[in-house]
Amino acid sequence: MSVTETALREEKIEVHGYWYYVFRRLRKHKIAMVSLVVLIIIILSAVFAPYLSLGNDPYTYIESVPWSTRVELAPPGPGHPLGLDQMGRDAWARLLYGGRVSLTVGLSASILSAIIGLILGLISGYSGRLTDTLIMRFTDMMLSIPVLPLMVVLNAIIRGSVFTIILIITVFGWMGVARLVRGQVLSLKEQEFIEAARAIGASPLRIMIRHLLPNVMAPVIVASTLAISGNIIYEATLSFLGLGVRQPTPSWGNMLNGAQTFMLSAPWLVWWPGLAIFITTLSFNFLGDGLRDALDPRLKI
Amino acid sequence: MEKDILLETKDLTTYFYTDDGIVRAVEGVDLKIRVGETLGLVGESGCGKSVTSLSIMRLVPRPPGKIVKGEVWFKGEDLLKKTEEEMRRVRGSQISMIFQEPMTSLNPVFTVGFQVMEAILVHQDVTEEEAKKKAIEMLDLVGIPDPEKRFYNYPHQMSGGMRQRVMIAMALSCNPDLLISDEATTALDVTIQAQILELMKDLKKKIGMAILMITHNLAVIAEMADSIAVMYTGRIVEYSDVKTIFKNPQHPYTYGLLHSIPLVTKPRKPGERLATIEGVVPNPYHMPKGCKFHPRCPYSTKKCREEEPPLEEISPGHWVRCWNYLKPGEGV
Amino acid sequence: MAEPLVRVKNLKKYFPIHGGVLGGVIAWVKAVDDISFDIYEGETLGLVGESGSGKTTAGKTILQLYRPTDGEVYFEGKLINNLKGEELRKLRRNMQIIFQDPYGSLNPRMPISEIIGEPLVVHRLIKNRNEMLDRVVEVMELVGLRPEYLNRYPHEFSGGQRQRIGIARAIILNPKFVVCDEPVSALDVSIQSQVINLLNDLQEKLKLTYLFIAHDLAVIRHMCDRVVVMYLGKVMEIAENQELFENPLHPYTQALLSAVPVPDPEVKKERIILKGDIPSPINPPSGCVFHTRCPVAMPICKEVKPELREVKPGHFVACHAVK
Repeated sequence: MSVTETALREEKIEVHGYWYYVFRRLRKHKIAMVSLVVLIIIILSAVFAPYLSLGNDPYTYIESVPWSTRVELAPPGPGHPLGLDQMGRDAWARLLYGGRVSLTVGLSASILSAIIGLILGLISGYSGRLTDTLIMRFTDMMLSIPVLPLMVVLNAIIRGSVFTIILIITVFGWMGVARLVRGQVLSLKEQEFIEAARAIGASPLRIMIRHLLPNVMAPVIVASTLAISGNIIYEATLSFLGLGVRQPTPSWGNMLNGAQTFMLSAPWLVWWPGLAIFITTLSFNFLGDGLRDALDPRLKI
Repeated sequence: MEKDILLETKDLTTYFYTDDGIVRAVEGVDLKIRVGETLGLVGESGCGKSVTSLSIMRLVPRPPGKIVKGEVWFKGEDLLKKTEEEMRRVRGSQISMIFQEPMTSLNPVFTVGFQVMEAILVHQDVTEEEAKKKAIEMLDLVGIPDPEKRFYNYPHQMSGGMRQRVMIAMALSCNPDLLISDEATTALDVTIQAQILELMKDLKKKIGMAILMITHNLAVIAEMADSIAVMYTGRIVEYSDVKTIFKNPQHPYTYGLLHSIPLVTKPRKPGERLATIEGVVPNPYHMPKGCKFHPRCPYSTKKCREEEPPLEEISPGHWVRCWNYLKPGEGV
Repeated sequence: MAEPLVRVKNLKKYFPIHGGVLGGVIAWVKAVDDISFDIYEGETLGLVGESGSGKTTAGKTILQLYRPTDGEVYFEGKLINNLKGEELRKLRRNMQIIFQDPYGSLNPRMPISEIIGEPLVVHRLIKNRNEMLDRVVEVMELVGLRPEYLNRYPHEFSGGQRQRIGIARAIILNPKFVVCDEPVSALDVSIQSQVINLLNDLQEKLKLTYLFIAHDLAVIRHMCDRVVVMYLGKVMEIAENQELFENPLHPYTQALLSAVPVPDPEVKKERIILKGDIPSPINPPSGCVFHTRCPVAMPICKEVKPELREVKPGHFVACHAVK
């Protein structure tokens, strides 16, 4: 305990829980707070897409616009702030609805990977050498599977949808969390409060859920937050390559794919989805950094 | 005979500015160490003894710490007024420090011999050959067997006691005038601690250095110190020579401390309770008014609750910070 | 003499060290190497030694937190090292432990009401949460913690209070036998005496039997009825408190006692300074493990392991030099 930490003694006048201190530390991280606000705006805009799309939807082919001879690739104008895409659909609406897809994929895949990773990591870390070795070798195996070539093969067979993308990313994304959790459990296992739980007679299951899980959550939260941005880019990459979400469902990635050919004639169709991906992933990264500092157990004694 | 004063702190005050408030870790500390003397700084965790030594060495992390005021006179100069460059020349060569955990104080990727050599090379203008020779001499001086071979050992290849000896070798390699020992023997086994204490006493005689010994172990201090300063909540509450402190403690905290420790020399009476000091050390963010010890003091009066007593010299060479100290010679 | 509450016979606990290409066992840490002693109901048996002595491992192995490598442990006459599952869990109601580290032994994410009440939940001794809280408050008052602190977290308490929380957790099931693993070593001096007094009070109130593990001989002298001295996994000497401190027979015990500093500046100690360091339990010396540092070592000490013999009634020594 450092000299400053020796300060926390009995007669603490204010009683606060763990999360109070976490948020207080997070508030100090200016960039993380700004990112949090940005993300809230982005998420809300995705949630309220129907209300913000100015009466347009991402699927309708617009008949005509007064300021452009062609409907396809029409530049921005009144009622269509981002113009129309190569099929004559409103780009702004597609951006908003595309956000829904990208965020849904990013968040769900992240949460599901975290759950699987937590379960396997806990079991692996706490069980005996045999179980641990088996699970870890399985993890290694999964890590060595080349996903992209696999996706190309699967693409011929399976129709890409939001659901399948989430599934794929999860199935190939839990390993990082599993290893992280296992590492944490291995070191926590040696702590005396785990020994104390065994001395009381607690079952391994109880120890894993009541004692280990709450203490490994911090790095899992950080890793998952950072993974969200990775997953969004992953989805964008897959969709960009034509392997992910299929038309006409918009996603930021497949919007980029569609706009490739028209980069010079209608650059705004590339800019906006690209910028959206960039800002969202950057914000999640900064938030993750801030959370890492805020959740640091050393500051909590 | 009045020996020369080597180190003197005047009103040394160090605060830590944290999110939860200000921690007044060291509050107006006056210490005096004479040439060749051992001063024991005694207190429990949080009393400010470590911070005092860090303040003298100007090693207090800032932020959040800050030496708010005071003077630290060492060989005629105020250390607090020196530049960082000048302090670096003082540390390790004129004032050295050894810590509690030799494993973390020694660099695990360098051999111990190299680290002692480094301490010499940094401060003295000698060749590598000469530094290596001196390093081996030092390892021998601190009682490490086969020093020429052990020179090439890494810290993890040595036991706790050996590592502590290496630390002492490093600290003494430039013949410092003052050695600060911050709980250096606390983590050691009893038999190893005995070895290290004998070594320190031996070296003190040979080299004639002064020691500032910081510890919470009263038995160790009884053996090693010439004078003792007892600290509580950042202040010195009693200050005198070792005999007076042990035979005639005047501050209720000192008295309580001395009487609450079990003695290895005292036969057991089953069911006998140890004397205790009730309560706990106050929260540094919410210190009581008046005397900081009064909530735990069996003799506190109204005056104690309202006014903080000053450090007074109640008899020659015996200083106490208490309104209700006894007349000298009286027992409690 | 009555039947002992706990009997330890030739207990061994070795820890494997893995290494090499295939991760096989390349060496053993012989933490506890053939120890035997009895603990009688109602007494406080002290277990003293320095680092590497194996005293903490011994305490935990007796409690079956580590499974013995060899030897037997009997509780109330029944062999317990082969118990598993539900039987072992039932046993835990009667044998508990107080840990040394007040910071690491409490789950930082659980409020103390749950930490202290967990034994009740695990053994299904209460029907609902209110019952548990009542019992927790009862025990908190016994150890000197204010009931208002029920919902606080460990980091909000001082070291001494955390130790009280650990003690409360250990006694809530009303065990017969409690292993105290250096319960006051990590505490400040002025708090140590409070906790020592508390442990004594509880022993009287709840009729507890203690195995008191410590390295501080002064605390041992104050607390214990009988004392076992360990060195490098082996028992060197066993004797009654007064007998051990006034008449130590084993050279190690003698050196240990002379090494302890005394808080009296006027006492000039004639110290027996042991040369060298404590050897590693991975490769303990042959014969008598103490021979490498023993001031009176004889040639036989290097060859033959000394037996633990009762040289006076109740006073056992393992040394060739003692008749």
